[in-house]
Amino acid sequence: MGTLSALLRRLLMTLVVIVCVSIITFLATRLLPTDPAALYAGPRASAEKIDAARLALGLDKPLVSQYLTFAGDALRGDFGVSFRTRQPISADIARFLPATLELIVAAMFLALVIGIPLGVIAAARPEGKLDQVLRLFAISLASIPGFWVAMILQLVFFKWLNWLPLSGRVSTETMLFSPIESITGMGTVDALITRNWVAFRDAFAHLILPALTLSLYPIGLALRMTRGAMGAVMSERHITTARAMGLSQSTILFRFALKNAIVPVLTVLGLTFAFSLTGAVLVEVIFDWPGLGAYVTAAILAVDFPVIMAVTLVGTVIYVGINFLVDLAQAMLDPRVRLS
Amino acid sequence: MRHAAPTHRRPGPRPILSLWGLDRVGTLSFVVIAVILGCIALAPFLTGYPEQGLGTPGPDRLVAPSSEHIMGTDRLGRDLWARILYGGRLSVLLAVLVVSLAVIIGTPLGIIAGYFGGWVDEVIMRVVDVFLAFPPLLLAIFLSALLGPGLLNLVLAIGLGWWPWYTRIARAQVLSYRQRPFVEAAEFMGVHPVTIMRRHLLPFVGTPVMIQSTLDLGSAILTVAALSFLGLGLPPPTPDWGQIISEGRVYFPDRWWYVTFPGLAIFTVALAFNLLGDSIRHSRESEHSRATNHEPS
Amino acid sequence: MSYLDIDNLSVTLPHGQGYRHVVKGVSLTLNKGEILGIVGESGSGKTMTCSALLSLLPAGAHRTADRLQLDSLDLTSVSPASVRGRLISMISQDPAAALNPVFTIQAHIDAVLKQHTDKNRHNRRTAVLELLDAVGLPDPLRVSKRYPHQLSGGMQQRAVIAMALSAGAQVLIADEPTTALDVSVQAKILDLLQSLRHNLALSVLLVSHDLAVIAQVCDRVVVMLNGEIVETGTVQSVIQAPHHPYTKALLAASPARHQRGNPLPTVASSYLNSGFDHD
Repeated sequence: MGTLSALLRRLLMTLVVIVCVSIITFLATRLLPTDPAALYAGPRASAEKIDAARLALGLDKPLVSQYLTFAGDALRGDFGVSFRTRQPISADIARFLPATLELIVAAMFLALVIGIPLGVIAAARPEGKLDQVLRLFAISLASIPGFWVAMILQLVFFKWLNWLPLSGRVSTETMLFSPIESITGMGTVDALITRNWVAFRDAFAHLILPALTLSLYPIGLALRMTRGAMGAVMSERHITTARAMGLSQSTILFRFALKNAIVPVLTVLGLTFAFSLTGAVLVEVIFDWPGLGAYVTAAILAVDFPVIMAVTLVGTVIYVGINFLVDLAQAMLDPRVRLS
Repeated sequence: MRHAAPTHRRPGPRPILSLWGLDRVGTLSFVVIAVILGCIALAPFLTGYPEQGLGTPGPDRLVAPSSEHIMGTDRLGRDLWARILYGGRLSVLLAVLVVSLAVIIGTPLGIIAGYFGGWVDEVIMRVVDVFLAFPPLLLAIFLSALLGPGLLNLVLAIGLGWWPWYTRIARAQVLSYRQRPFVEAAEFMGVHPVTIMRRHLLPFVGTPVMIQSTLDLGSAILTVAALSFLGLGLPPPTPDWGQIISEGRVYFPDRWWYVTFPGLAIFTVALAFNLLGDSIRHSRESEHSRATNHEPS
Repeated sequence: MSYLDIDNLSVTLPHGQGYRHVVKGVSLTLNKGEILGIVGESGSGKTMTCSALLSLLPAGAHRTADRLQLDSLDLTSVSPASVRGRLISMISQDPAAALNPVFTIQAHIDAVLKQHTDKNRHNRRTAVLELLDAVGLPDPLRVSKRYPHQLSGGMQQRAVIAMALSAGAQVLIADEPTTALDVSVQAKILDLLQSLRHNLALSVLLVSHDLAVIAQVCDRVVVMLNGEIVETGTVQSVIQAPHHPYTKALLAASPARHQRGNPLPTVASSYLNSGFDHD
């Protein structure tokens, strides 16, 4: 009974946080020294042109009404137009988001599928050899600059071994001879749905290196968080009982203990998502992956405010939303707090 | 089989020196950090091309590693080893500034939130929540794009997203010491809250903050490199690891050295700080569990 | 011929630079269908003795024995996995902690059945209900679907016993099985152990610090002090005519036989401290 109201409270908090995030994002663009009107008017614009831009953007109005306009538009999915391309930003985001999501989902999948089992194995013998090696492994993964390792992977798998494509989402041949029909906007998924196997193979091959690069940090993260949560569970009395009843080590680790640790391990989901999202910015640049990251990077170089603002806002809202879902899942999974 | 009675430690922060109870990995990473700091401090003496390190073009462009240029040269003919040494100065400086900024903003706020509680705590922690709602790096990218290039702007952009972690740590620490007799006694005697926070609570906050900041130095170096790789760093010809990699990308993979060596530099420094921080934390945790799991069978 | 035969069992734990003996040359026998009490203060080595049987000792511990024999099987020559749950099971003090909070009772017992038998899903399901019924739980179907925190302490302990016996273990080590329970529930759990012994010919090693509990259900009792057995005998002989001064002291300190109005005696401190290293 208390759980439902707690979740409602949590939902309310999430909404408040999103509003605050939008305020901070908005204020930053208005209070920091760069003048949006000057940027909108373009380089070497005359004073009159800048004033006209100021009027057009509504920058002469009080901050509160400016914010309300901005927030109202954003709620309707309207983020204005890009200073650089003069295109509506929402349309751009809708076009680039699926590619980024495809990449992030692939990276998160790798992170969870590799990181969680390694964390469980590390917890089998606390402070044992394997535990220590895996600890070093996780820390190394957290210390690698992703944009650099991306290039090293390209060197090895493209240049030396020639196993995988250098960059992009599909090769030119695929685009010409077996183009992927866009349904979800995620290349591999669309190819799968339309049973376009040639294109699927190709899109999949293109996905491997970027997804792998993006998953390195989250793998380490998932490993360490799983190890931590499992460490606490493994010292509990019911694990000794399970041993005394003769359950095998693997049953104890992967069935009994892991389900206990799953609530803290789930937080990994939110975190890996966050790190994949920001990591995507760099990875997309290197692999010419046409997603939000590449989009925002181009915007950064052109000081294209509304785009940077919109992507920050969208990214944050997705992140906050995922965290809320994780909380929800945790509440559902733990029978002690489950709605009865 | 008698042995000495357990020593009862005076409750209080342990002296800094006890941190040297590090394991092998920790000690090794400490030595590596010391060597790296030594190298960048002595940069002018470790390279024959100090002026190239700072930005002056050299005669031989994109030369592969040789005895002359052990790490090769860049597109302007500058010795990469020299560039990396001088770039290290900047990286470490920026990382230290970022972490210091975060500690200076975050720690006092956490102590205040934990000490006063009530609405003060509520307000501070809600602000913390909002800042933590931004995915890491995204806020830094956003702010540094708005602030424009420059050393201080870069520090601000990253540090502004980082302080909430220290607020959390400091608050948690204060909450666990808030009700101790020595704090209540001081309150009872009418000691000024600021004095209580500074004298009685700050010392307990020190160690966890120090561990976190060591770990964060590694992350800060990576973040600085990422931002400068994206073109949000300092303008050329300032030597900067992320920027060197970004320049070298055009010549990659043919001129492999251009990208490889600065990347290795970032990796090494970040790894050393992360390992050091982790091993400090690890040694303290196991000490802690030894101290608490002490019940007779 | 005794069923379980332990001869000269010793356990050492690493201690500082060297090691220390926590179990010193313990020899005892347990007959089929017998309940043997092990009594002693905490730290006297009774739990370690039991853990040693299942090879569930803490890291670094070392076990030696001249003989560890169950029926005709040499326990030192077989893998711990083939002993735990199949031949010997152990239940412990706090049933709430012994059950995994995120699994139903059904899942607990099912896991043990799955580990040790080749019954299919359906048969395991039936077996779970039979086991729950056998340990005297009312409405087995309902109980099987419950999570541990939804059951009372007594029901939890019955469920743990069902889990312990599910793979056909013939020896049950019950380490302070009633200490965490209410007095009224205690008696019912002890009754259950009695009836299991009669119905299944189960042999029980009942560890307790409470002589009243031991007196209620055990046939014979061993008294342990500092890792050694100081007295053995039938419950009657030990309680009525204790030989060892420590047993006398224990008996005197037992509230059950204490007379109202006189101060409660304590176990002589000389016995607690002799060569004892509590830290």
